[in-house]
Amino acid sequence: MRTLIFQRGMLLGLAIGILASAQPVLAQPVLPSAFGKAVPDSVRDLQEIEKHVQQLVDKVMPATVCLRIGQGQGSGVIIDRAGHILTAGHVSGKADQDAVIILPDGRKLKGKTLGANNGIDSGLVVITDKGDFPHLEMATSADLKRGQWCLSLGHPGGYKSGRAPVVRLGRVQDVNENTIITDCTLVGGDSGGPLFDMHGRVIGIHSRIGGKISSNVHVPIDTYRDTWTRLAASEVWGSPVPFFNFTRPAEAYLGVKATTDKMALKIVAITPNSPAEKAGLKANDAILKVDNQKLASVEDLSDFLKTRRPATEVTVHVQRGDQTIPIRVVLGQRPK
Amino acid sequence: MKRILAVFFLLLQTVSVSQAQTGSSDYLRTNPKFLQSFRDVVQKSVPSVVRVQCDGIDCCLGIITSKDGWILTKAHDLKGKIVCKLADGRVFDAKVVGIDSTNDLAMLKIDARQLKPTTWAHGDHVRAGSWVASVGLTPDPVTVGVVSVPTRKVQEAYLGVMVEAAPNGLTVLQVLENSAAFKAGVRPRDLILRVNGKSFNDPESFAQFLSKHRPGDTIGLSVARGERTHDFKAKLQSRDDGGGFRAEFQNRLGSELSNRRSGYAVILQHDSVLKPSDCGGPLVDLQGRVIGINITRAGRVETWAIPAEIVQPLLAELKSGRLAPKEKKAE
Repeated sequence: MRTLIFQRGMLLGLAIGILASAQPVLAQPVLPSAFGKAVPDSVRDLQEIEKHVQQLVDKVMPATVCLRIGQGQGSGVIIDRAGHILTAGHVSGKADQDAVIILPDGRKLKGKTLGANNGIDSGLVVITDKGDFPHLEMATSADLKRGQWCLSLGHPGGYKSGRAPVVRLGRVQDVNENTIITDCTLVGGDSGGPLFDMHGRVIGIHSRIGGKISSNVHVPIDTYRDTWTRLAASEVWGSPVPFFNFTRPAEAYLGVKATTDKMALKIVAITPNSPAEKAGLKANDAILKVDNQKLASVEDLSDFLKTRRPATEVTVHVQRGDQTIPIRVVLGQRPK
Repeated sequence: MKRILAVFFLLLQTVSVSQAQTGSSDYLRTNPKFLQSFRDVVQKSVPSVVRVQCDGIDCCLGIITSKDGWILTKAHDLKGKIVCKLADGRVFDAKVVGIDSTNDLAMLKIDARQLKPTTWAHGDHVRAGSWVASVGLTPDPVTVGVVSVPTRKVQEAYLGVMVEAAPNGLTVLQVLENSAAFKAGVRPRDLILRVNGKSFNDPESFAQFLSKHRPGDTIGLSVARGERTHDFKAKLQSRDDGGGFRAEFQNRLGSELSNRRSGYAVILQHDSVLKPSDCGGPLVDLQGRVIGINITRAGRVETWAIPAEIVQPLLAELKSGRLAPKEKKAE
């Protein structure tokens, strides 16, 4: 994978970028040297980083928005005067839906969803109210390097009156054409929010998380540029595949057909010869929790299984009739 | 009432970044070389930190607030036999002298003299993006991060209904199971005519009204159902009581959360990843000033501290004996 090239390399990359790119790349000011070090090693480095980041927050905050679409809400970022907002595909969803956009100062605007690429999880929304909107530039994700510092904003847990978009600072841990992984922690509500480089340009859009605290995955910005015409034309395409650019360990498997019934998770059928059958789970059992994790829907169970490996033992607490029973299950491997 | 909007949950995936990539943990905050760059920042505060143990188990950290043995710590998880272990290794039995339940603070007294108390910073407003270091008993900080949101009042009283505007009030579309509204007797299709005597015509102004309340507050709802009018009393809930299993599931991924994560009034939010058992210690800025006491690991993206400007005025009262804990620990 690409390793961190120090400041000289960044300047070289910039020069090549200016010559080769079809789009105008604005010359960026040189960053404080602390950002170029593999690991900051002095208080002076930390001070340089802090001063820069504090100013960056002021610059990028105004264009960071909350999006309310249907019964859900996520985050987004305004990237041009026309009021186009980059977000996640799973936030914008279908085209031509009404969207409410909440600016950091609390002002609400109206908008509409445009296109989405569900294969990479990119989505586009546009503000339909007239106005002059704060907006930010897009960078180029092809140039991203591991170790590069980045800033994440969004509305984790949803919009909260009195709370500005939440700031996190981190570094790129890994990057390829389909994903950027950083240690800027994300959680539900952040979906669609912006990841910035140290110049305040958008380099990614928040998409998903893994089981580890450092597994935070963003859609690289280049796909928005590459598929702009389709997104702007409200095309929705691609299927939300398990993201195939990382070696995925085999997913854990239980072997139940379940349904979400009044905010509870109910087993409808047990798959023959499955771990569930071997352990003694039965149809009509309601799953209350697994180990210490409360589960209330089919999605909860699916999410939970993604964080476990095959051949691990869990305790499934079920309600059967008027009894609560803990049942030990050795999870299997998801059949192909 | 606040419209319940599901947040768009981040998709989940089992991400396995190959650790064989060179130096893949170099760029994480946990890199010891990186934490070491904060050593001078925390140096003055380390002698003022104690380890608080309950029945022999690490419970939280504490901060020495005066040299004759007064220790400020986090209240919620204290139980049983409490001892404080100082940086120099000495262990003292501790007694809980005062508790401030809103801020989750407890004042302990140990029979020790000549301790090194901390100095609290004066309330300069700490900007988002500022480095913060969480101090423990080691030369390097326990963890570091940046301020995510400047000091703010927390607004989090939940009723648990989804409403829409109606000509003479608010129509209830949905009532969350186990919510304050449900327990009060509100059901879908009810028409909320008045709340605490006031009428509301749109969900947003109702949400604003609610945001001024705190969990535990009771509000009166005048509700029309069919031909009859009902008067319900709803006790507003905090974030921990309400629904949202999926949100809690994602929130718990990757790090342990504190048992108490709500009911606070004013907090300073930062993105450090702090173990619940390391709450109760000082949070310092890059100048080494103690700007708060870490109070809770509130979620995957957030650790909260009670700001110094809130703590300082409480210290005398906490020592006075007037805030002594009741015999039975109320939950």
